[in-house]
Amino acid sequence: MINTEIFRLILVDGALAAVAAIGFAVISNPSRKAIAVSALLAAIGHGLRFALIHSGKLDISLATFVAASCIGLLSILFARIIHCPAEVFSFPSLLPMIPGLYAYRTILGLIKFMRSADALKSQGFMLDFFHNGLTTMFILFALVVGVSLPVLFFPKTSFSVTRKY
Amino acid sequence: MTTKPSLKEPNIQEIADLLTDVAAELMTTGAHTMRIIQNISRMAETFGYSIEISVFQLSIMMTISDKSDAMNRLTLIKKTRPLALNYSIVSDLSALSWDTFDKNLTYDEIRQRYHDIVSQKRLSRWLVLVLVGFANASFCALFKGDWYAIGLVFMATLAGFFTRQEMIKKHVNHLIVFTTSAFVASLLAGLGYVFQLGTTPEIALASSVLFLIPGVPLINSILDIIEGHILTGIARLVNASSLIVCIAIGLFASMLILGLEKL
Repeated sequence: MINTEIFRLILVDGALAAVAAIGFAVISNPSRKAIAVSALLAAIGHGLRFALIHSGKLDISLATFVAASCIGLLSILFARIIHCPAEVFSFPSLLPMIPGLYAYRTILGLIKFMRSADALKSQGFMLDFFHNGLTTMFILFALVVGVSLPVLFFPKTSFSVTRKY
Repeated sequence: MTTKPSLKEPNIQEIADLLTDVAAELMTTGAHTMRIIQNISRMAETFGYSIEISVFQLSIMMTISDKSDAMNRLTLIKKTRPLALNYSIVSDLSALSWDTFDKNLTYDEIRQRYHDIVSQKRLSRWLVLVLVGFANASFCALFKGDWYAIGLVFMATLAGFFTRQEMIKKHVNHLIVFTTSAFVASLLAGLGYVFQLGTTPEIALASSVLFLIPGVPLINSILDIIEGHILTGIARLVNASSLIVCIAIGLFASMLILGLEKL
């Protein structure tokens, strides 16, 4: 019973991520096939991250790292299949994992700290600022490093995917 | 080197111009440094030349020399245009560089195909606008925003992205473009606070500016840095970070207008 409920949540999560990826992919004007692949990868990546966080074993930045490496690996695989550089769809499929809410709370904490005269409250705002700011930074770092690692492990493959012979 | 069917062998100037054109186009459309160098070297190889190339944010410097005649060499510096992401061009130019290598295309064929690739049409800007709107709205849903928040974010994104498209068309400085678009989007999304719509106005405000995040420069910069092109990587990183600061300034401005006590 609980299992089906979690599956439903993961599916919804993946579907939303796919819509987000399509929208962000079209900004950089890729081919049709590449847009479809980025939607698929975003769904897999974000769904995986959701499942990992939900399992309670990993925190958000580690889960992001795992999901981003997974996207990186799959994108090299798909790059070979549709003859298109891997970055084309690995970038947009990462975007749904951008820590927007943490970034917003970082700025909010900073502004409140700057404008607060009460020393005790200021401490709380500073705590918010550092907690959210560090989380934002670690997630961003996990995203970009996670997706770039596979390119380092398979440099030959990554640069010859557009070769058709 | 195999003999080519063209009547006239292209001279070193023509080859150098072609290669710097391709490199500058790749830089403009958002390829990372390693890909640019690999593509250009591959094309030079086909014509029997070797190249040394430095890629910077604003210019590309290249020395090309004839493998069979060491005296026949040329150094060029080519300015690049400001970043306008276009991944169709990146992947088509990569494919062109492999085709050049594998099929021994002639100079004229490559020129022709290069011209066809860079003059292909982009997706309709209105389609992009609507898709970005839906994307940002589903972002809001991912952060567990309610329907009011999702609707607000959709409207705010349409307005913000439209502002961005119009300002880019008028060639306004890109820092100002990002600040203004972030301001417009977050001000509209902040109406949820003003009119007490739904239970998650905070999420609407936070996700309204996310469509501006410069993801491609950010990831390109890390790729450049891990592949050893540290200078270019840092240039890209500074560029992306300044855009993020601009987004924060725009958001900050609308938060001040909305009144912080409510946030």
